[in-house]
Amino acid sequence: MKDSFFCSDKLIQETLKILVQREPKFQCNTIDINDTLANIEKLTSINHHEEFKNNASVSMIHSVPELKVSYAQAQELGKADEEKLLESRKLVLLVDLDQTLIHTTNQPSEQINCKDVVSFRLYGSNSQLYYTKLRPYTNKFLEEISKLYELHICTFGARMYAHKIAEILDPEKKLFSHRILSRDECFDPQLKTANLKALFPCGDSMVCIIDDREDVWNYQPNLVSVKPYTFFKNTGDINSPNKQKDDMLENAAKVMSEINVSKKPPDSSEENISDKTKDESEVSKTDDVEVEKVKEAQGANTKSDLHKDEKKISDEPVVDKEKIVDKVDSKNEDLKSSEVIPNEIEDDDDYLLYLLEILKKIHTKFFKEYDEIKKYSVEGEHIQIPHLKKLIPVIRREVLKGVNIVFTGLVPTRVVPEQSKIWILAKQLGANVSRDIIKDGSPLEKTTHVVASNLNTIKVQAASKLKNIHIVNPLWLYNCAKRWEKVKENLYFLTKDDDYKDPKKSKEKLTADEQLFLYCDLIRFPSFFNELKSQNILNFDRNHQYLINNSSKTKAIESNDLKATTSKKIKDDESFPKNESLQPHSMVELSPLSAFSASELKMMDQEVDDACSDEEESAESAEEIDDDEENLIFDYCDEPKKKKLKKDIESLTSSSEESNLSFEDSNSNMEEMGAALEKDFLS
Amino acid sequence: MFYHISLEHEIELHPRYFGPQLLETVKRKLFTEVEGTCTGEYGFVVAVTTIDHIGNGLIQYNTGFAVYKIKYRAIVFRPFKGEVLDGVVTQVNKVGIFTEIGPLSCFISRHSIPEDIKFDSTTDPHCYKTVDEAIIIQQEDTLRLKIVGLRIDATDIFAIGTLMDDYLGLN
Repeated sequence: MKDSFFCSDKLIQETLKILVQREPKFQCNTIDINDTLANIEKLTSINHHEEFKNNASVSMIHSVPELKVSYAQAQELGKADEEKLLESRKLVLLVDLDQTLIHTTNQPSEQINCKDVVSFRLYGSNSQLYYTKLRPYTNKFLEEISKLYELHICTFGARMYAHKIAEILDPEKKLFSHRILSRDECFDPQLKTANLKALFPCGDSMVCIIDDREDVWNYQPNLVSVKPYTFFKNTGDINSPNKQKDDMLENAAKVMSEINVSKKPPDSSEENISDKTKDESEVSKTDDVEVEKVKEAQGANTKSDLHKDEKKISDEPVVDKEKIVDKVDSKNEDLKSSEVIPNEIEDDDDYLLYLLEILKKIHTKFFKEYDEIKKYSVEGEHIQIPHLKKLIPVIRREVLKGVNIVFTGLVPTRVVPEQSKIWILAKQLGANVSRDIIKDGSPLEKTTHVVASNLNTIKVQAASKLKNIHIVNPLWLYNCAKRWEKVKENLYFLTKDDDYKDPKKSKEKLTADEQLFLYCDLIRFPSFFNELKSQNILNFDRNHQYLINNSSKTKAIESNDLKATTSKKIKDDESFPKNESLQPHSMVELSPLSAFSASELKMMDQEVDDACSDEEESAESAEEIDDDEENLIFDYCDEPKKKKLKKDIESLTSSSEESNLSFEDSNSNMEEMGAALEKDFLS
Repeated sequence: MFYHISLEHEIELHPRYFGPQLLETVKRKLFTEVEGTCTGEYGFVVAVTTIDHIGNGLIQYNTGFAVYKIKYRAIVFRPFKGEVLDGVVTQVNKVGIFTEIGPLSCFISRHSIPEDIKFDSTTDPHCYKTVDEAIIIQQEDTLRLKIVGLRIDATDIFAIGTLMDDYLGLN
C-alpha cells in the first residue's frame, strides 16, 4: 500500500498508482484508478483497499495500459462501445503496420530515394534514420475502410515508432485517434491476443484483424491474413516479435535464392519476364481505372527495359542524406519540384485493393445478419449479435466452394496429408480435398483442380488425360488464400520445368512468404529421413497411397502420350502386366493388401523401395534447409571462418547421417548464439 | 501553488571546464540540471530566479571533477489536495479526461465529471458534452478542476481531479 495514496472524496474513491516513462514527446503520465463507487464507508480499512486494487484489472486505453478500471466498469464501458458501434454501423478493425500497410527499413539503400519513401528519426537528431514506404493505395484503403470500421493500430513496433507511423498515415488523427497499441503496451511480447480481452471486455465479436502474421494472433479465426508487403530488399519485419527465428527463415530464403542464381541457366531471365507479364496481366476487375492504366503500362515493359532499369538503379549514386527531409509534405514537394530522382522502382503491389473488398464483404455480411436478427426480435430485448469469429470462416469458405482439389508432390511423405498446412488451408477456403483424383461421381466430389509441384507426378499424368481438370501450381492456392477469391487458373498452369517443391529449382522471384508457404512442411520436419526409417506405419501409409495411384496410372499407360514423359518410375511401370484387372477404389481403400495377387504384391514391394529412394532425395532437400540454418551462423562469423565452415559442411552433406549430426551441432551453436545475443541486448 | 524558496544543489564539473569561464559554466549547468525537474518535497522547479551563493569547488579525489555547492532561489510549483487549477485537455476517452497543468498531469475520471456531460465517441476528436451541446469538452480545451488526490513520488507528482464542484469545468 506504500505506493498508493487514497483520497476519500465523498463520492469517488480513486486510487493512484503511477508509473511513468517520461519520453520527450509523449508525456504519457499514467494512472491506475480504482473506479468504484460501492462500499465507500468501508473503504477506510486497508483490507478493502487491497480488494479494490485487485478489482482494477482491465486496462482499457490503448496508449495508457497502466490506467486500469474494475471489471464491472470495463463491462459497462465495453457495452457502451458496442452499442455505439452498432448504431454507427461500424465494426472494429485491428490494423497491423509492418509489412501490412507499410514497410520500414533502417538500412539505407538505393531504394530509399524512391517516391513515397518517408524518412524519419525517432530519438533525437543523432539517432538512427528509418525509411518507410507506404504500401500502394494505403491512403485510399484507410479512407474507404474507416467508413466501415473503427480502426485501431496493433503493432509490435515501439511506442514512438507506432505514433510516428500513425502520424504519417493519418496526419489529422482522424482515422486512429488515440487507438494505438504498441509494443510498450503489449502484455505479451509474443502474442497480440493478450490485449484483446482488456480492450474489448465485452468480447471480440465485432473485432476483425488484418495482419501479415497469423502466429502473433494465435491463428484466430477472425484474422484476415494479409500478403506481406516487402519493398526494401534484404529487410524483413524490423519489429518482429521473434526476430531470431525470422532471420533464420529469411536467411534460408536468401540462401535458397542464392543457390538459384548460381544454378540457373542464363536463359532464365526470359522465364522471369514471362512470369512478370503474367503477373501483371492477372489484374482482376477493379473499378479503379488508374490501377488498370498503371498495369497496362507495366505490361508493356519489355525485357530490355527491365534490364535498363536494373542498371540504372545500380548506377545511381546515393543521394546525400541531408536531402531527405523529415516531413512528409516537404518531402513530397521536394520530389515534385526537383524531379531529380529518376529511379522509380516499380511497385505493383495492389493487394490492399483486394483486402478492401474482403473487408467490405465481411462488413456487409455482418450487418446483414445483424439486421436479420434485429428484425425478428422484440423491442428492448437483448440481441445476440453475430460473432465475427464464426462469420469470417464462413465467408472464407465461400472462396473455393465447389472446388475439389487433389494435391500431388506437395505434401512430404512424412506428413499426414490431412495435417499438412496446405491441406488445412484449402479446407479453410472451402475446397473439398481428397487424396486421390475422383474421375466420376457427382459434381460435388469430382476432382476439378490438381495442385502439383511438377508435371512428373502420377496424379498429374492421370489428370492430364481427363477433361475439365485444371492442373495448377501451388501459387494458385496461395493467391486464392491471400485474395479470397478464386483466381483464374490459366495464370498458374504448370510448365515443364517447374518444380515448386525443390528449393534448388524454385524461381528466384518467389517472395519469402511464398517460399515459407511452399516449404513450411519441410522446414517443420527437418530430420524426417531418420524418423522415416523407424516408422513402420509410414511404410504402410505410402503403400496404401501408392496402390491407389496405381489404378489410375495403368489407365494412363494405355494411352500413347505416356512415352513422352520422362519419369523413371512410370517407365518402370510399362512392364506392368496390363491384363490383370484392378479392383475399384473402394475395395483398395478398405483393405489395401488383400485385393492383389502375389505378383502384384511383389511389384508393389519393389515400387515401395523405389519410393523410398525418392524419399532420400527429398530428405536431402530437407537437409538443405538445415544447411541454410547453418548459414545463419556463418553470418555471425567473420569471413575466413565462414569459408572454412562452409567447406566443412559441404563435406558433411555427402552422407546424410553426418549432415544430421552437423545439424544437431548447429542447433547447439544456435542456442549459444541466442544466449549471447540476448546478453548483448540486455546490456 | 507556487512558492519562491531557496534551495541547494550540488554540481559536478568536468576538469575540461576549468578556466576563465568556470563560474559561467557552473551557472549554466545549474539551470539545465534544476529547471523542469520535480522533487516530491518541493514540487516542480519552474525557474531559478537568483543564485545566492556558489561554494568553493572541491576537487574530487579519483575523478578530478569539481563539486560546487550552490544555494539558489527558485519558483516551484507544488500542487495540493483541494487546490483549484486550470489544465489543458490532452486526451479524451471513455474512462475520462487527461489534462496537463503545466508539468503536472492530472486525470479526471468520468465519475468525477457532472452526469449531464456524457462521453461522445461519434465526434472527431472524441469529446464529453451535454445533450444540448452547451458544454463540449474536447482536446486542447482549458478546464478548471479541483485536485482530489495526489500521488507523490521521489521524482514525480501525479494528480487526479474532479469537475464536480461549483465553478469548475470549461472556462
